[in-house]
Amino acid sequence: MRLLVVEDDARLLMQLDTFLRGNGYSVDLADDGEKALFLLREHPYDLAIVDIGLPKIDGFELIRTVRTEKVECPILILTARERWQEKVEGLDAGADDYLTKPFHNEELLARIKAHIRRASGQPNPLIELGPIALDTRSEEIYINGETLDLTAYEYKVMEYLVMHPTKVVSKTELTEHIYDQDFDLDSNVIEVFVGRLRKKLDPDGQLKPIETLRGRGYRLNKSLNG
Amino acid sequence: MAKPSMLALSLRVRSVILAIIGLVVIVPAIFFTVERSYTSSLEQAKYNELKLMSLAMITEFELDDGAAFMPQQLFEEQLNLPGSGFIGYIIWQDTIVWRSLSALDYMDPNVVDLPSIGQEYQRTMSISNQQYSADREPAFYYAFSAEYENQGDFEKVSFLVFNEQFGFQQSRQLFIRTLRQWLALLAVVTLAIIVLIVQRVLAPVNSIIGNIEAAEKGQVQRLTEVYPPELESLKSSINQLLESEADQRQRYKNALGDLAHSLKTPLAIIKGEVELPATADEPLAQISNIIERQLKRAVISNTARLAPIALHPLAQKLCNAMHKIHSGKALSIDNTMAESIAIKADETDIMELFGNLLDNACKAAQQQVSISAEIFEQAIHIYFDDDGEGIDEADATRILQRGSRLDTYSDGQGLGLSVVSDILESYNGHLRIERSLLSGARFVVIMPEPVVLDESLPDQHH
Repeated sequence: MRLLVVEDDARLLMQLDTFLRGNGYSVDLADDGEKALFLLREHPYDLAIVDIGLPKIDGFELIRTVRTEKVECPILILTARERWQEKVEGLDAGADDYLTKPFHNEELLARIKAHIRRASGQPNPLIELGPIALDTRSEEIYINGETLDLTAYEYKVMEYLVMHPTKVVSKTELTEHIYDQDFDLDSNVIEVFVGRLRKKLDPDGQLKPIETLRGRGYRLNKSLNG
Repeated sequence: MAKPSMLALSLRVRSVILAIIGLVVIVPAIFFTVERSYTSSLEQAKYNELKLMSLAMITEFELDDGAAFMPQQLFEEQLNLPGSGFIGYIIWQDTIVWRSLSALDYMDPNVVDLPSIGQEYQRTMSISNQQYSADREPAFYYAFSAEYENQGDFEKVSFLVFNEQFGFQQSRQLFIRTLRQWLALLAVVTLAIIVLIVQRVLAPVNSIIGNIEAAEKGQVQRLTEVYPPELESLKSSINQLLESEADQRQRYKNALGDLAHSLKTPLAIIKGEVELPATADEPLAQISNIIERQLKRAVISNTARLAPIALHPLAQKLCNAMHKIHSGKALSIDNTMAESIAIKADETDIMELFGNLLDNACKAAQQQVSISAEIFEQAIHIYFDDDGEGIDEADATRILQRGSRLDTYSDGQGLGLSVVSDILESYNGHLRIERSLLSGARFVVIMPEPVVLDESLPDQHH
């Protein structure tokens, strides 16, 4: 999952970067409204965390602008301003949630997960697809109730596919959302992850959970969605 | 006893008092001047009349061979009739040689000072009469001395004419009475005109005062009516003052917002430090709460001049926000407040008040939250209902007592409630906790002085 963090305080920005990367997200950073606007226009993010008091373009204005430009990723406002009037203004502008400083990192993480899940149309943290179950809280995948032993990257690939269940996801898109912006990765690595995932999820070759569409990418098997 | 100073009197009363003082001086002055000039011209006419009589006497009088000749009856009838008030005497060689028929009831005057030849006297002198009391006005007196030839000598003969003042005083009294009546009428009319003028002149002042009062009550944001040039500068100063005050309030809010930002971002960094011991959590939360509460207290702005704000659209905005904030819960949030209900308050304050209570209700609720209001006993009662577990009586008492302290009863509601009680305190409102019909808790906010907006006002939420 790829996140954008917009915050003008450099120390807090670095801290959020470290924390979110440590939790398996690929993170882009912006320290003013203009950079954030550029990045939001250029890249499809899974979620944006936006401070309100920003140089150049303030947070309300940024959110309003990207919403009129049909940027639909969930936006989480992170600010010290906590009067309801400001909260209402932010949510009115098009933000999805509001977290006031200082915050617990765990709470931030929980909200990020919840919003990404909801944005993909999954109301529950436990997503069940036939015999496969994906728990976004513990970041584990179960098959027929048994935990699978997955690497972090394998989990992230599966999670991304589950969150976009009807979409054909290209290797490039997967790379972008799993790794950081400037991490140049050979697309073969994705093929390797998908190959391993298939073996672990479907050792008998019965379920065929991930389809390959030649030249286009991968898609979750429709039969899993019931 | 202290006298009220002139400064404390209203402009109108002050003008009327000054006008009355002016009239008190001017009207008697007019009366005195007119009365004096009328009397003196009347007196002059009287002496002329007496002079004509003396001339009539002179033409009749003759000295012949040491004896004076004068007919008893004169052509001038006034001198012939006793009681006419006109009396004539002729004095020759210090002896009264002739007296008119009208002098019947009079004692001879004891005249020592007679004008020299060719001279005349015009003055008043008392003469005594057997029928009239002695204390009446002295009579007009005219005397003229002429020279007559008597046996080769030239001798002085004095002609004296008296006139009692009865007729004269009568017509003078009549004149004074008429004059008084007209002057009184004039004073009343003048006063009425002055009052009218003062009213006209002060009308713009009254209007600007009314306008300022409206601004004070928040009914208008600035003075817009057109005033005379003298008041225009006052109007623009007041407008500047109003604007700078509103600016100041906004700047103050912004400054506090920035302060919150610059205090809380470092706190967020500290909190995010991995190495931070768990024991630091509570003091950090406390610092953060204190900052939040004090900053919120600082912006509570219950000034007298606040425009009424409609509650329904404001609550609706909050309801929409609550749907997003509590999106994990699929709540149904009903806003059934009447569109016409408003209250004179700062929008930020009411937003904060409603926001905290609605947020608490959403946190406590299973599925249903409602906000409603009614007006009775000159107060607005706003109900925040939820279908959560409710709060038992003992807890409710504890919450309300601790409302102004930084306690929590669950999930950060304590801070919200302390802000609620701060706001209510500054608006003379109060909070009650009851059992909701939705089976959960009902928080009741009671605030004085509700406003019912005119239905014809433009709808504030589109």
